[in-house]
Amino acid sequence: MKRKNVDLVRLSEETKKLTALIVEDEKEANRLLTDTFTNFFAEVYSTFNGKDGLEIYSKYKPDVVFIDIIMESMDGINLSRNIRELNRNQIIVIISASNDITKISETIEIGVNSFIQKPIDTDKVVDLLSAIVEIVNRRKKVETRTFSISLPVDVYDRVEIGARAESISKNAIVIRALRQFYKGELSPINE
Amino acid sequence: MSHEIKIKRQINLHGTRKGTISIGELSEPYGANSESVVTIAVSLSGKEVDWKVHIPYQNLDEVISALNEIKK
Repeated sequence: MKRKNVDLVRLSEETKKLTALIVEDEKEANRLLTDTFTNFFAEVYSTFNGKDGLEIYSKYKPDVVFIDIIMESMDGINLSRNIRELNRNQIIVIISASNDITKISETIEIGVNSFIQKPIDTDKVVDLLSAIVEIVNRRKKVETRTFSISLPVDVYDRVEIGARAESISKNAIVIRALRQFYKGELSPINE
Repeated sequence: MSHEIKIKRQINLHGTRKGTISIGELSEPYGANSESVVTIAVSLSGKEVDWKVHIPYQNLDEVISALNEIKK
């Protein structure tokens, strides 16, 4: 089934909130991913080797890292391991042309989030980006669930009354109350 | 790695109020020491870029010639 343009527009609206790093020593694959991702991510950092990749990662802390599994000196597995040590929640995608089951199982042990196979199929890139957006959104939801705030009792009371009076969600009124509270403009909730 | 975009020209995008076509040079697009490319970015709002293409300098003459052909 042909992908609808609207899907891509929606997808890029989400991915444009994120930054990416590509560590790929094969020029053609690096170029394809960098040029494609330039249209999806807010910023794309790119490099040909693991050592520079780790440096760029430490400096810019991109949201998503794409790493080639086989590279000279620091390979994708070592780089992924190093990045995991810096941030255990980092989204890591392994780029692989290898069918080497040992290497792939090592990356699974490190806990990489996804794989993309070379030669790179741009349709699959779009599926991969959708999966990344899902991961990010799922994490945001979890963060929202665990987020808690304390309101002064009088503000809370007004929120309760306001929510009932206006028949809108308590959350919407809490946001409004907080805005007023932090601006120092606390006034009756029914403005 | 420090890629940098130098905008050489900005054109108003026909049919939009604030849209632009920006043409510039992007240095080290694929990592340290990679060759610069020409970048063409389209923004419908004039703020965020909606679509970009990177063209290697080695292809530029052919691209210009194709555009001129289309224009005829």
